[in-house]
This record gives sequence, structure tokens and C-alpha cells, in this order.
Amino acid sequence: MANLVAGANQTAAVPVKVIPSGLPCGAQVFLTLDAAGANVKAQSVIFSFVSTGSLQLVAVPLVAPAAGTYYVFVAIYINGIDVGVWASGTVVVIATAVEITNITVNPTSLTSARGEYETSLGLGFWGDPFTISITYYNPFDFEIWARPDFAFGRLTGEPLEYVDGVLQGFNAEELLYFRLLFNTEYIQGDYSHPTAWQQPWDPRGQNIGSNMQFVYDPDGVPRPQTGDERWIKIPAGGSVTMVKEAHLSDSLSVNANQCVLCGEIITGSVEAHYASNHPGVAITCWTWEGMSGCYFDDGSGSAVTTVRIPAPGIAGPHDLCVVANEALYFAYDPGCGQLRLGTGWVTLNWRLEELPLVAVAVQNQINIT
Amino acid sequence: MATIVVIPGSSVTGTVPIKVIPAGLSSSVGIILTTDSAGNTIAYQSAQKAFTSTAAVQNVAVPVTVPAAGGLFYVWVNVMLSGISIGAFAQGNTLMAQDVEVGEVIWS
Repeated sequence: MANLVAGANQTAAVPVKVIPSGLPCGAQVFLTLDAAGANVKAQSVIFSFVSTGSLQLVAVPLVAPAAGTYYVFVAIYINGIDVGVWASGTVVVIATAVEITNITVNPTSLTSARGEYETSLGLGFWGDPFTISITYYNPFDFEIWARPDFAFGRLTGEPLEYVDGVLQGFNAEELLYFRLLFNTEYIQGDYSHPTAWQQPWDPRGQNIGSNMQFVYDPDGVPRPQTGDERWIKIPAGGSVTMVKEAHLSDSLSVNANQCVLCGEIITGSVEAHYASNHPGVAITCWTWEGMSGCYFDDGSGSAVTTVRIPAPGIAGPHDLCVVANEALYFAYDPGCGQLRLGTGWVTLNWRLEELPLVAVAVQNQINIT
Repeated sequence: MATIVVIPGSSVTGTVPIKVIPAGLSSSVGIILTTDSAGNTIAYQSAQKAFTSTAAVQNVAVPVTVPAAGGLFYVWVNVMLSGISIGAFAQGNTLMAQDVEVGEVIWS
């Protein structure tokens, strides 16, 4: 019986003999939970081939479902007509890592607008708010602790995978806002900054998502990782969802001049715009220590107004990548170490083991206008 | 007109409804399968099945072995009276000889 890896791209080579030769055929592979083939958990596309009249192997790609034992069925099509379904043994899907089973962002339509709030240091800015929820599934029969990160950006078209611990296939953009504020009515200080990856396990405790908690081993001994970072605890064979309220970055829009006569956004010279679009209207432009403006020579006011528009490359859809960083579990290993707690020492009976890194991406998850 | 699916290499029976007038003639029918609709390329020809005409419609069962190579076949009925071939009559139905075998999937 073959072993597949949950979530991995697998190939099912179907030995099939179709008589006569030369027929346009298709093969589709199903994995079901029941021997009757009713409860389908994974299915391939219909993979086309031309019959040879003799035994041939048809390679059908399929993404393996969650861990479990499945029945394999093959549907054969001839001339686009389903001519039958054949049972083709069973297969075991094994788990090697925690699984990310659901990602929801709300709303998915966001703007590049900049909101502002007051701090003791002056004005602070942030972008559109949104809520993200990430559901993790633990296919193992022991608890797993993981650190969820997420980023908006672009899939590169290359496989999304870790190579030597570095995520390939996704370029994170600095679209998010890390907010670390003293949460009082009048904000004392502001340590916020734009960031590419949101890390809802932040040790300073003001940027965490829901269901994040400190790590304890099965004996109840606290096992701090770095500072007081929080982790999401995924029960054996169960799921847990982390919900995080977040903001887009405050720097997704830029100032631009808008012509007061025709309303056009002027990206180049204001004088050139007036010369070509409003001949005969005399204006004068000025700059002074980083500020600038243009006014009508007849004294009737400013020739442009300042508006904010999306920064170059910001408007449009963006992909979302979610990862489970440093997924850990405790392996029973009596006396494997000691930990100082307060004034005493405790003996550790559980050794920390790490699971492979996991990343999942969703194309065009948000649209920024 | 329909396409009847059969298994390549299998033995089937084609029952021919035939009416020969007058009664009492020594007659026979056979079935011919061709790969073209004009009947030029014969893929299979059955033995002639003898019968005596009754001047009414009678069903004559003709054993047919479907060609093992499979494919789409046009059906013709070859009629002979007193040892003389009267003609091959085209049938509306076609035979599709196809078969599918699926083994156990090999995973990688």
C-alpha cells in the first residue's frame, strides 16, 4: 500500500487498457473515505490521453488530502463520456506537518487611504482595518504548538516551498502595519511601523491574535522560547483558529496634484499640464523647503489641490501567504534537561521537537483601490 | 439509429427480422461488419444462417464474433436465396467494440 504525504503534489500512474486504439480518452482519480466511493475527499482533473489498444500508464496529478486511509477509484472517459468507474486499491496519506485548512480575510476589498490618530509624539497613521482568521489542523495524535505569520505580496509562479529554511515562491510586500501602542486614551508613544510579515505572536503582547498562549509542556512546565512569545496550541487531531484584527500600512498612498480646472491628476509638471490643456491660463509655481504649490496669476487662488492616490504598484489584487513557523511538539524523554524556575530548578521530561515549516498561499486574496 | 457497445472478441447474436416472399424458399442470412459506411472494407463476415421462408416476418439469429481489435463497425445483412446472393442491406445501427481495463494505481 502506497504512502502519500498530506497536501503534497502526487502522481497516480493508472495502468489502463482501452480498446480500440486511437480513441480520445480521459482518466480521473478519486480518493474516498468509503469503499462505496460516495464520500470523495480528493479528485484529480480529467487527464486526457489517446488509447493505444494495449496497456498504457496514464500519469494523473493529484494533491493528497489530509492524513487518513482512502479508497482509490478511477473514472475512464471515452469521447467525453464516462464509461465507468473502477476501484483501484487503497492508499494511506500520512502527515508530516501541521496543516492550514482555512484562511479568511474580511473585507477583501481595501483602500490605500491613510487614517490618522493622535499620540504624544504627534500624529500617527494607519491604513484600512481588516480581520484575518487562519485555521490550523493537527493531523497527529499529540499537541502541536505553532507560530502563525502572514503577509500580503505576490506569488512568483515558482513552487511555494522552503529551501534551507527560506520561503521560495512568494515575495512579501510591505503592506501591513505593525501596531505596538500603549493602549490608553491619549496614546503615550508610538512604536508602529510598516512591515511585510505580521507576526501575531509578538513578545510585547500588544499585537497578538486570538488563541495565542504561552507554551507549557505536558507536565505544566513553562517552556519559554524567546522572551514571552505566544504560540497557538493545536490539539491532537483537532483544529484551532487564530483571529487577528490588523491594518494595512499607512504608506500605501502618496500625495499628488489635481488640476482645479479639469480635475485631472497631474503626475508631471503642473506648468506643462496647464500649457497643453488650458492655454492662456497663466500660473506660477513655487517650491520652498520641501513644500510646493501653484497659483493663478490673476489672483483667483491655487491652480492645484493636493490629493492622495495609491502609490505606484499598490492598486490591484495582492496574494496572501500564511505560514506555520516552528511547529513544535513535546517528545517524552525523562530527565532530558533542567530549567530554572524562580529560585529552584525543575527536571524536564519532555524534549522539544520541531516539525517541517508549512506555507500556504491564496491568490488575489485582497484588492486595494 | 443507435450505437451499440460490445466487447471486442466477444460472441454476440444478431437477430435479423426478415421477410421473404414467396414461402418455402431455401434462404440464408449473414452479418457483415465494415469499418466504413460505404461497406468497402470488411472487418468481419459471419457464416450464412439457413432458413426456409414463410412469406411473413421471421427472426433469424446469426452468431457474430466481434473483431478483437475493436472500433466502430457498420452493419450489413447479406441475403441469399437458393444459393444466389440477393444483396447486402445496410442496417441503421452501428457497433462500437470497446473495452476498458484498469489496474491498480502506482503512486509517486
